[in-house]
Amino acid sequence: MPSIKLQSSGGEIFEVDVEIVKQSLTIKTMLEDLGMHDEGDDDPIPLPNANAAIFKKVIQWRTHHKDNPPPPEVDEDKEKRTDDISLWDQEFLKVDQGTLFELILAANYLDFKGLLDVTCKSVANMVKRKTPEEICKTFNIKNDLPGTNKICLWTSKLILYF
Amino acid sequence: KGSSSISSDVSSSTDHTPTKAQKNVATSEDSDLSMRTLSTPSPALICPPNLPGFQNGRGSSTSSSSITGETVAMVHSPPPTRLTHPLIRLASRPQKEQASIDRLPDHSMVQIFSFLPTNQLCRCARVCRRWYNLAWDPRLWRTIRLTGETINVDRALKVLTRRLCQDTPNVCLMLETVTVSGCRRLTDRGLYTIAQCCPELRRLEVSGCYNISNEAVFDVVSLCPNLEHLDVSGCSKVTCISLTREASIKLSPLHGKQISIRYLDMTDCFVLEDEGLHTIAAHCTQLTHLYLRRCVRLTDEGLRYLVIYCASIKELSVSDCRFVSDFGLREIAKLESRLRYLSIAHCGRVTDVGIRYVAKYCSKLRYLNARGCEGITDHGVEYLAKNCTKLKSLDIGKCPLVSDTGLECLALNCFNLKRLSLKSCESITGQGLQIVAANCFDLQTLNVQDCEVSVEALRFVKRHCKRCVIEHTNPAFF
Repeated sequence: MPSIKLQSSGGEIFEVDVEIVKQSLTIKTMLEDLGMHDEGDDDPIPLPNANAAIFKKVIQWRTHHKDNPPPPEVDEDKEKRTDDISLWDQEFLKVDQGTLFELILAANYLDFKGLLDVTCKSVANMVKRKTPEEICKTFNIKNDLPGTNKICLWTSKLILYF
Repeated sequence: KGSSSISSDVSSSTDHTPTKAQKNVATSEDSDLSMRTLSTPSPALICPPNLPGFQNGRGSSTSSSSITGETVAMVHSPPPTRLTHPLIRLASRPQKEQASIDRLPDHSMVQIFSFLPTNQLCRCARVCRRWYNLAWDPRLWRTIRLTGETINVDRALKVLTRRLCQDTPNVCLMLETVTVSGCRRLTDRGLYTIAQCCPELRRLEVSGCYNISNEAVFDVVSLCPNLEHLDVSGCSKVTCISLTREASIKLSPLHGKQISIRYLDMTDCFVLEDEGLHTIAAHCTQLTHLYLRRCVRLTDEGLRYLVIYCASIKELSVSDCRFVSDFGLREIAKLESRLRYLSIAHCGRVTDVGIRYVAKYCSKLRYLNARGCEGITDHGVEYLAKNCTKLKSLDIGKCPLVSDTGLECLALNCFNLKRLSLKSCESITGQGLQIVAANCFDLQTLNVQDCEVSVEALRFVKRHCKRCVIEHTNPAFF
């Protein structure tokens, strides 16, 4: 199995199966740009936006899902579901918030749509059915909305109906 | 403290600290501020009863969203001013310790929000400034989806569309889909709000909103020329789909009186009659999917009109339209190879004659539901099998005259069969089943409830059609 070398932001080098990272448009583009397919070129591809720990997790996810076809095009008219995360993925995503958000950033940067989809769904599940106060508490967000002006009139009007 | 484009006459004198926001009780300071002309309630407030348009004294809350732990406080009723100042983006104030979620760029946040239903999005808008701005991203507002029987949906739509119309006065160009199925309190006013504000509307689903009448539907259809998908099932007052008089007059003769709807669901619009269907067909000539389940007043005449005008129909259901007979099926057969899906369930007057018409001309039929058409015999089934070889799904349940002979013909001709229902077919035995199983390898569901079939036959099916799920009433088989 051909493999390629990828270097994380901290300098750590990972040797991974080409099949696993092929779906990443980012890596694919880099491979083409640096002209590295054919030769047994040993120079690792630098990925300055991915740190080692997160990169390991991404590779773990991709390895598990390597036989999955790329996710289908979204049907715009269908309601987007969040209850269809596989059990393995649910276990995989039982991490602290910081790691979860890093995974989103990494999936975005490396362009792994499947991982991006499932991580965003997870966060959406953390938001669903919560009141604004509960959301602030969950994510440690400071509510800097002005309490007494039109913006809150709008939004508090809305809250009546929802 | 950070630039803000909120107009200055509103109080921003006190810095709004997080502790104040999270307290759910109106403090004395808040009520001082309420002395202003635009008295603003604290976030957890319920509006007072004398605002126009409120239908009852209580604030309405939906069953689907429970806002717990909030106390109600009365405030002086604000005059119903139209908020003229555009609420442009709020600038984010820099925060001392960042919540880790703030590391996510805007487009990732919008992607997360894209999984949230409408009501949750509105709640997210109240979390903080950044979320306020992100929640109103136009990409998230191509669809409004509301649920709940008790929600004051007219008012909710008014408030939502007003907010979405901000940058493009009076119209929301982004809204393409509105789904308020099950929101029983929807009235013509709510529909009119949508019609006025959403010229780009493509899909409208108001299933179960039984207060809707024809006028409102005409308004929507006239003001939303791009409407393709309309679901008014259960709206029992709707008897027609047509343009308003003003719209008819405005349209040029070249344009005709065309409505571009392709998908129309009028299931349970039981007052619909043949003349109404005539008008609908004459206007909606581009229909491809039409569902008239339980529109019991329809007769063959209505179908005749339908087929004259709408030549592109692919899916048609007239189940439980008990006056439909073989003459009606002869009309339907004129749809020829465009027809893929047909349901005539419980159309008791149908016999083999009608089935033969459909089978002969609609050779590309994929789905046929003829449950309860007791007049169908093996001859009809044979003709069907030999002509519609692409059949994937067939329901001939409650057809007591269909026997193993018909099944055999089916098995030998329709290899693509995936779903078959023979519920209560008294004349079917295990033999017929076995022939089907031996030939139709793709079978995925088989319904043989109340049939006299042996356990051996069921086991045979299971062996030959591995993926098949069998629905049966034989206690010995498992």
